[in-house]
Amino acid sequence: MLEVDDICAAVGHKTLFSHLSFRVSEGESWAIIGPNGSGKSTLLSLVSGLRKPAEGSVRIHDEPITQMSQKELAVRVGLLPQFEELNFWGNVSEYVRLGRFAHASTAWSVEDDDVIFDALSQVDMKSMSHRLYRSLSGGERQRARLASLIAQTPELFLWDEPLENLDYRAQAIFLSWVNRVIETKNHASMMVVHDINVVSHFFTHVLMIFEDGTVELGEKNEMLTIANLNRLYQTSFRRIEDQGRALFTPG
Amino acid sequence: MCVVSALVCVAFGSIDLSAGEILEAIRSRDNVHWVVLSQLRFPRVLVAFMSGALLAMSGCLLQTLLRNPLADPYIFGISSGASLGVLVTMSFALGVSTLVGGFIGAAIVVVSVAVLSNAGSGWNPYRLILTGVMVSAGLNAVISLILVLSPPEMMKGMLFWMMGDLTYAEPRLISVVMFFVILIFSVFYGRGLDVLSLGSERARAIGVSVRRMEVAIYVLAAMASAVVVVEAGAIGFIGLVVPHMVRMIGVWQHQKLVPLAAFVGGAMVAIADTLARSAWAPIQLPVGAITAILGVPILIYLLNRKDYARGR
Repeated sequence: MLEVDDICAAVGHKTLFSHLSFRVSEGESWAIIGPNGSGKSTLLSLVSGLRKPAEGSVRIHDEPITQMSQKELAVRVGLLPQFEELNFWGNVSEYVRLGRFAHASTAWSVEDDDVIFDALSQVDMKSMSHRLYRSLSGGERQRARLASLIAQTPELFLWDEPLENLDYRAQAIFLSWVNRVIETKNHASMMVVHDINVVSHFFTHVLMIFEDGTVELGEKNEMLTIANLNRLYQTSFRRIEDQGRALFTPG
Repeated sequence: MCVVSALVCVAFGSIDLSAGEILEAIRSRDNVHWVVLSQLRFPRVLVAFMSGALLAMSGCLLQTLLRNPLADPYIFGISSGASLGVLVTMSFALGVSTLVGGFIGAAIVVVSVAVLSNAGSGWNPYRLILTGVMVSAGLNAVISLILVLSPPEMMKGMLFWMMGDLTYAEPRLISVVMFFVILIFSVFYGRGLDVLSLGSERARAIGVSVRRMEVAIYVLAAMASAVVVVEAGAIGFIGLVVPHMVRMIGVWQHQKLVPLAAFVGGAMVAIADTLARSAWAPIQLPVGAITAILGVPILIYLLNRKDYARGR
């Protein structure tokens, strides 16, 4: 589905990573992990087309994303950035509806209310659909943001730290939804996360961006090793087996 | 509401007319009252309404473009540019009308703010605001200097103009055209404008062609403000307060916000202008002073409403 070839990224004079190539196929769920400032968000903005790579190309189903209009791209690739401006005056369901822009952009396009209703119920916010968006708590606001990308219904989901501010229950509901939709609809997802145990439980693949700009990627079980994690975070990790599941803890 | 305010505005003036007299005059089209109505009152009310409508629409668009609730049509220094243009044509007796001078002044400011805020690392809302505020501060300093050095009788005319004054304003085709262009733009691209309030990065990820839309907003809002400021001077607070008034009653989607703001803004300026020309008759007050006196308490009230400023 996604083919990334030979891309490079730099911020100022610092090279984040160079000559990075990888493929993401239908049904795969990728975690992007790495220390702060290593270029995880930059990678997502390159894949989503918000930034143009200085070199290399990004293609979706063999079509370069630079040749698509913003709207065509948004139907296929959806990104939820880490930050946005709080300048919205409507209620929760009107907020989620903004995510439908690529499907219904003109004044007379008919809205699919079912999609919005479904997105709200996936994040357990049906009962809050009439609350003012500005009046929500941090975690509730984050859930509404997740719902807006769910309502955008792209084929490739890109999430930048979507678990921020979510409680354990909300995290589990959200991550299971992602896995379900990827499996049943043949979509794919890439997500920036910081919790290694969440990675070990919910994802199929891992992409690691190291401080020195090297990138390692592969299937989860090959990637989540003590050696890799120690190198990635410059902290020593311990591995604990619990009912056949690997858990990692620093120190 | 518009019909009522139009009637009220048409009725009051140096000759007060009753509703019956107005209808009678419109039917007969052949008495003193009809002459007053068609030659004086209708054009004056129309230009007042158009000015208010354009300012309010421009305010809505700029608050979205700049993601700043305090943005108004004069934030880029358009009024200062126009003032300086008018002032220069007046004091140096250049032989062109003050309208031309004002328009050239406003155009120079619009272009230079766009160029300055795009130079180097590219523009963002904060840079655009700061550039506009700086340009306008610099121009205001020059205006003060010229005013201090100019003869006193000209100073009064200038001050009147700078506060917003409809005494010599005439309805013009360009304001009607701008009115409909912005109305159609906001209805047609309303959903994109809604998304844009989340910021440019998020709006692009949702599928909006942000760059194109931002250029369109800047051009339309700047033209609307320039048309008003050249014709009627800097009528304050309408562009700032009216969008908030309309949002407060729960209308925030641009498809509805912009048209409704246009009518509220138009009606407010028409009423303020009626007050300005009849409250202290025969002396005409600058309408901008009236809109500011009305606008300041409204804005302070809005800022004190907890559910509006911060959410419930």
